[in-house]
Amino acid sequence: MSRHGKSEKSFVRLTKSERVQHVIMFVSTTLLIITGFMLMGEKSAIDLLGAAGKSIFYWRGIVHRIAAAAVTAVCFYHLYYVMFKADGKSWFRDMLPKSRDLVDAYQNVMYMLGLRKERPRLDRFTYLEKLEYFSVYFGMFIVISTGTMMWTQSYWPKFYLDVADALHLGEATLAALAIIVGHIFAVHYHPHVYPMNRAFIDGKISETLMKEEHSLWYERIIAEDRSKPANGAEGGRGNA
Amino acid sequence: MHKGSAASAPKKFLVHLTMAIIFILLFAFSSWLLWLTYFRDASQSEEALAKRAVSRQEMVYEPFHGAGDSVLEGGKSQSWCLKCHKDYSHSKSKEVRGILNAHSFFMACEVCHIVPKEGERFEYKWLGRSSNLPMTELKGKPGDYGGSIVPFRAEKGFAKRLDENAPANLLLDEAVTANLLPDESGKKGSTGDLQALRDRLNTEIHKDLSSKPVFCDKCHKENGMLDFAQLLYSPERAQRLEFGDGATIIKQYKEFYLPSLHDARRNQ
Ligand code: HEC
Ligand code: HEC
Ligand code: HEC
Ligand code: HEM
Ligand code: HEM
Repeated sequence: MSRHGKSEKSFVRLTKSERVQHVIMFVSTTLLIITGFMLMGEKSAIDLLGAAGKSIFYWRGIVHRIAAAAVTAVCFYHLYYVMFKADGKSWFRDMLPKSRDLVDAYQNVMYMLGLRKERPRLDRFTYLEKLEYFSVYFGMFIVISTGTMMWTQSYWPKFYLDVADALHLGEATLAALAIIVGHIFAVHYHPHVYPMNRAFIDGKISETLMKEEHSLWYERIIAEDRSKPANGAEGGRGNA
Repeated sequence: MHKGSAASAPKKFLVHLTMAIIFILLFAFSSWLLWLTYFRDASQSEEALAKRAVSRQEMVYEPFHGAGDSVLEGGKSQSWCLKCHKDYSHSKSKEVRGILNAHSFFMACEVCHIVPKEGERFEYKWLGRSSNLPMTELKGKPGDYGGSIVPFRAEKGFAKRLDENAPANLLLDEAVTANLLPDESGKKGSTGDLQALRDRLNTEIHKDLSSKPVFCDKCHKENGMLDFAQLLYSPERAQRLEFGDGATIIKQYKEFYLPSLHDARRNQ
């Protein structure tokens, strides 16, 4: 991959810690989705695996649990991060829903319907990003608690396990769809960044994109004059 | 590959191709998820659901430990009870129904439907299906050994076969002549005023039956109702059939009288 826009200035979108959290999150979530939904396969399809099926499904259970532990750890770390780290606090503050988000959503819909000439000017996290972020909060709360119950299934009455299983499956389905449709399609197939939004690798966002998608944030940073050059050192985001 | 980067045409094509393939795969997976959530259960037979319920437990807790398909699929039970109970519905939950129906393939209905009274002890034996003689070994696929388990009760020094009921069978013949039984299509074949015979038939046939049939956990545990070793199972098979303490499969069905969430979902 060629470095994009060498001459162009870029900004820190995700700090190193955030990128590490994200990478753990998405590697393990991908594994969880695969190993989880293997259980929903047709028996006839699974039979095609033949003798190997036995060990594949043995490892399936183990991988689901390892990835689950990783996801749980990262979630707890993230809570610590947003509560006690400067970057985390600013992340969370910028992520909190504001009444302005409703206005943004309304204006953006009007813009897409062609009833408004200009896109609303957005801050660091758009209303969709906030929605996504908090639905992951909610979703993780559900899958972790119900998954832990199923993991320790011999301690629970059947009725609770039934409820846990149904919730786990329901939330897993929702989460998988949200990640595929809402996150991957929206992040990578977005015309501005297609075929790949590299922000989750290098943490950078270009000035063009910044102006286009997060103009308020852009102005905030410029006003504070704390923007970083493309190859600048990692560190504070500049808008704390 | 950001805007403005000058990638060569073949490379661009490759990128588009990869992205298209990933898109199609993800799209297919999403569609499958939706189908799972909304349509799969509606399109499957009871047997398929029973099989999946069991095979899922297998996959999760004892991967591919070898539940014989024959145990789950079953075959047609030979029992004469089926002369009337053509489409007997075993409980509300489809999975349980499928499993109980399948069990009838390798055991007489009476094994579950006649429960020993306090202090009473039945003997259970494999009898060859055509020979009617006690079997000495189990050969074949699980559950499919050419015979079935039959209960015996000690009566005046004799071991009485509980799956045979001579007086009832006589009555049954009468009923057949009177065209009382359901016909092939399953429709009740009643012609004429034979309510009395019908009542006698019902009471005669069902008088031994227990009001609460044996459920899974009576058999599938250590020192359960059936002595698996005496029933010719190998020690490993016997141990497996005990399912272990707190086995999920039993839990799954134990409180089946409570409509489970799964059923609620399924029946929507
Ligand atoms: C009367 C005793 C009895 C009852 C009650 C009973 N089973 Fe069984 N079950 C057996 C026997 C015996 C076998 C072994 C069949 C064979 O392999 O020959 C068996 C086999 C099975 C198997 C296949 C196990 C394997 O490894 O192949 C499953 C699953 C099963 N039973 C589930 C259930 C469930 C669920 C219930 C309750 C709905 C139930 N059983 C009730 C006696 C019973
Ligand atoms: C002559 C036909 C006939 C035969 C043979 C027959 N049944 Fe029935 N059985 C009935 C009818 C009719 C009912 C009542 C259905 C109803 O009340 O809705 C019934 C009901 C039952 C019930 C449910 C009882 C309840 O409380 O709801 C069970 C269990 C049962 N039969 C088991 C058996 C078994 C086991 C056999 C074989 C030993 C058998 N039946 C043979 C006709 C028959
Ligand atoms: C493995 C044990 C087992 C075997 C074998 C078995 N049953 Fe049952 N049966 C049960 C249990 C448990 C119930 C109670 C289910 C319920 O109440 O939902 C039941 C219920 C029934 C009922 C009442 C159904 C209802 O909806 O209330 C009928 C009729 C019946 N059985 C007939 C049969 C016949 C006929 C056979 C033989 C072909 C048979 N059963 C073999 C365990 C068994
Ligand atoms: C459970 C799985 C995932 C979670 C919870 C998650 C969460 C997040 C969050 C909270 C952000 C920050 C929001 C933002 O900066 O816009 C983000 C950004 C990003 N994610 Fe994910 N993600 C997941 C999976 C993935 C996957 C599978 C990919 C791609 C293969 C991916 C690619 C990206 C990219 C490129 C960004 C940067 C987007 C941007 O700059 O706006 N993520 N993710
Ligand atoms: C996004 C995250 C996750 C997804 C997509 C996911 C998906 C799934 C799916 C589809 C199933 C099968 C459900 C069924 O058959 O009804 C399952 C089962 C299970 N999940 Fe998860 N899961 C996730 C997270 C977790 C977590 C965090 C834990 C534990 C803390 C966990 C533990 C379990 C357990 C114990 C089972 C029972 C089956 C088994 O033993 O593997 N899962 N999961």
